[in-house]
Amino acid sequence: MSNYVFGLKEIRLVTPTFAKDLRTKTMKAQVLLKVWIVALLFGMATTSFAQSNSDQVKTLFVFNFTRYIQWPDKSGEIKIGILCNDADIFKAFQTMAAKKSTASSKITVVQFSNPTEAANYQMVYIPENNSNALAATGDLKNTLIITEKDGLAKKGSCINFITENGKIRFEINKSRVDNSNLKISNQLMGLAILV
Amino acid sequence: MKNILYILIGAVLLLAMPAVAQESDDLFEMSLEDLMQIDIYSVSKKKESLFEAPLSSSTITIEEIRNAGANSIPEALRLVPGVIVREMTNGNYDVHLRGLDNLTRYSDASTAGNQITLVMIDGRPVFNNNTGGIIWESLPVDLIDVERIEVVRGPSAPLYGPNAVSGVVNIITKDIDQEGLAVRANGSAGTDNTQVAGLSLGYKVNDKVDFTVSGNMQMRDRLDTRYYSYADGDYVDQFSDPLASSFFTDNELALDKKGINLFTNYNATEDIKFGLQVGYQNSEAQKPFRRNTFSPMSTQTLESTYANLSMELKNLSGRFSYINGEDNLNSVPTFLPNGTQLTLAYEYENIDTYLEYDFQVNEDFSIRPGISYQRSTYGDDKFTGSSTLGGLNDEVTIRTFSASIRADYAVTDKLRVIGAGRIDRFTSPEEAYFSYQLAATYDINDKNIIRAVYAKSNSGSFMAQNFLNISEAYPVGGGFEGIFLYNGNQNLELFENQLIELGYRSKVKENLELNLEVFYQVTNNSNDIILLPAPAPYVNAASSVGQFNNLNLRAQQWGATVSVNYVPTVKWQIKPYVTVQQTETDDMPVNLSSAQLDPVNNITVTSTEDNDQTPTVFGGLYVNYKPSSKLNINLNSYYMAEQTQTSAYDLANPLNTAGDIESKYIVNAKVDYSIKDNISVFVNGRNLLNNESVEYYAADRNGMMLLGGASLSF
Repeated sequence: MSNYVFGLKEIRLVTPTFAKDLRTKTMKAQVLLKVWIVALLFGMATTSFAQSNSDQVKTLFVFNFTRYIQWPDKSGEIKIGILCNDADIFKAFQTMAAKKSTASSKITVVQFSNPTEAANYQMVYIPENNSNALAATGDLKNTLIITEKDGLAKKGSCINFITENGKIRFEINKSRVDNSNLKISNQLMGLAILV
Repeated sequence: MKNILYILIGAVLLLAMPAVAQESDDLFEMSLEDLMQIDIYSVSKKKESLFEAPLSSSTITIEEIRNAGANSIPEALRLVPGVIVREMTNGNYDVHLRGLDNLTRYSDASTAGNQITLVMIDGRPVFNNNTGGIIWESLPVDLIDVERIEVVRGPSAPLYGPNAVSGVVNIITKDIDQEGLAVRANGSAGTDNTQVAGLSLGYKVNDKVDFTVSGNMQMRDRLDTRYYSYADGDYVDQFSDPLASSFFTDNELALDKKGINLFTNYNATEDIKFGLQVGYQNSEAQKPFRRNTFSPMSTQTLESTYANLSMELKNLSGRFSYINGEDNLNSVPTFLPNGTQLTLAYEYENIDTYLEYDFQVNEDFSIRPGISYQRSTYGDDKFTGSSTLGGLNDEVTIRTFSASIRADYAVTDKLRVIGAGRIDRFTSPEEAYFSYQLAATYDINDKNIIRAVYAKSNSGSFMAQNFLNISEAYPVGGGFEGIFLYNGNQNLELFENQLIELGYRSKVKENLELNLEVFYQVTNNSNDIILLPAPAPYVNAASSVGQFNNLNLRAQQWGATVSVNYVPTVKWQIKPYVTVQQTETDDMPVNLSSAQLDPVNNITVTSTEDNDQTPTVFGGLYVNYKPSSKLNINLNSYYMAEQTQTSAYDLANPLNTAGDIESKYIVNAKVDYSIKDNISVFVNGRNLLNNESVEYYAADRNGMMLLGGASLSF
């Protein structure tokens, strides 16, 4: 034992036989590569019919919110602004708007990038990757701000999506909503996590 | 058979296609309440952190386990890529990560079990320190307590502790989400007297304090009536030896296990947390585990009590856990030539504790030093006497002192490197072992990651290998004596595994994840009982002598795992996964005799052999369809290619076919219907093709099983 420090027997990172074995395995690795390529192609092929996803589900949440919220302007048209340049989310909202718009309650979806324009919309959706923009939207009385990043309800958004155990949940910042001109039904409050 | 898997996967995808358009339309008609029931797999934080993980790892959630209808923790592991799960008898499983099992080929039953995977409950190691194996029914928790199961493939001792040689299975228990009472109950019953139930009652007083009491039970009968009989050289309905029949009195019992646990948490502040878990389990299982005079099959009874205290004090985290128990690994004694019985009952007491400190040097660099101490004491004095010997015939202790360090460095936005090292100093063998891990991930972009791992880990040090101590002399006539002499070896080198692995993960779409890994592993320091000549003055021909010793054999394994998680619509989830591997053993001895005992065929006569103990292809498919918030339909399957399993018995009986395992394809289905928000009823079919082929050496023909039941949670 005295030959070793702390009884340590071996700190060789690559044993010579290990390296040798590895070289002899390169032939087998080529076969493996083929398996990879087949798997990769298989993976790619399956994407062609991928359709809805969590973004799409959230757009349906947003649509449902419109049924529980009263805006001071009761024109019947809902303008949703997407504060981000995100083609996937924009497309998901457009799909929702196309399916859920009716003659009496029209939904339009617009993408914009300047936070100070948020007041132009009844609802503003801030995707997670643009969450920093929340602070710049200011204190809006007639616009419902929706975000999707942990902790943003406390930082001033009206409704914030979170995921719990693989399911979508939404938080409502009650004081923020109370201070606005929006009326939110108790039914919606009951489903929300109030912060 | 690979082709069949791919065809099946393709067929399911094709079937799913027409459903896609229709499902999406339904989504637009859902109420808010319905939308809140939809499972979102692709965006959860956990998935993302796993996506970025440098090691090869997978997680299954309790929801997936329930959907699939798995009835126990080891059965649930069939849903994880890279895991080999063989059912021995109803509810009793042999589980290996990637293989490397029974490398010495002629090992004596229990040593063929998995001795190289670290199984933990919330980070607390739960393996058997005597044989080194995992005894699944000895876990005090069951699925009722589980939140998710994480599996790390490949040597990872520096991060998790010794024995993470082929990988880690970490069972994470559930927390209570909301204040107030939380009740979960699950019960199912079915054919072959199978009953599985769990009840969990939790109460969260406030943000800081919660406690949960939970109980679980499983009772199962065998699906077969036969035993493999050594004397008959085959499976028999009735042993021809009446003495054998007197020991195998309950040929129906497969498993009878119960556990009760108390979980309490006190979160003083956001970064000061304490948790206390205490529990008790007892179990009785009949399965092929440790051979006896008559059969590889016998009954194991296990009983244990544990307490586990964990804490987080800002950056300092630690644990102290204690367990004591009593096992009998073989209800049927082995008879020595003079009639003395050999029992494998013992008592034990283990302490396992660690402290770690997380230095966050800056945003990009953190370093985490840690120390740990383990003590295992095993003794069998209570069970031995003048006509009964134990395996240890003493009280023995192994202590392990360890120091580890882990550094995590984000070199650039895209490149992250993790280096970890650990030194384990054992009191027996009196040596220190260094294990290390070097892993790197590189983000090609936010949807594609490549990663590489280079690692080495060693097994823990186990009682039997060190301290096996059986010595019994007996007269053989003419004034001569024979001896039955088996010893451990405190100078054994611990088993080691070295790995190099390349991985690729891709979020091909937000709802489609692809995971590829290619691995190459080399093992060293296998050990087994080597048969020796009898020492003087004993008569060699009338003796049986052996001692644990290292063998020169080295196994090399290369392989690849491909897994996909695809959520085509909110109602469908499809997860195919397959592992292909090949293992070659260099210097495989023709038998386990020493050259002194057998000058012709002995451990120095070796060759390079394919190890066909591990199936060359194994994997599965998980397809979940949730057409409405009330109904869930799941189809899942598991496949293992053919194997040749071998035991010490086959050395003398080379024509024995008990270990010839055919390829097996198992199809399961479960339909779940919520009759109310919190109550659902289900029917669950296991092995619906009624494939009765045996999955493990001398085990049962486990065919179809049908269960029905209900679950409740609020």
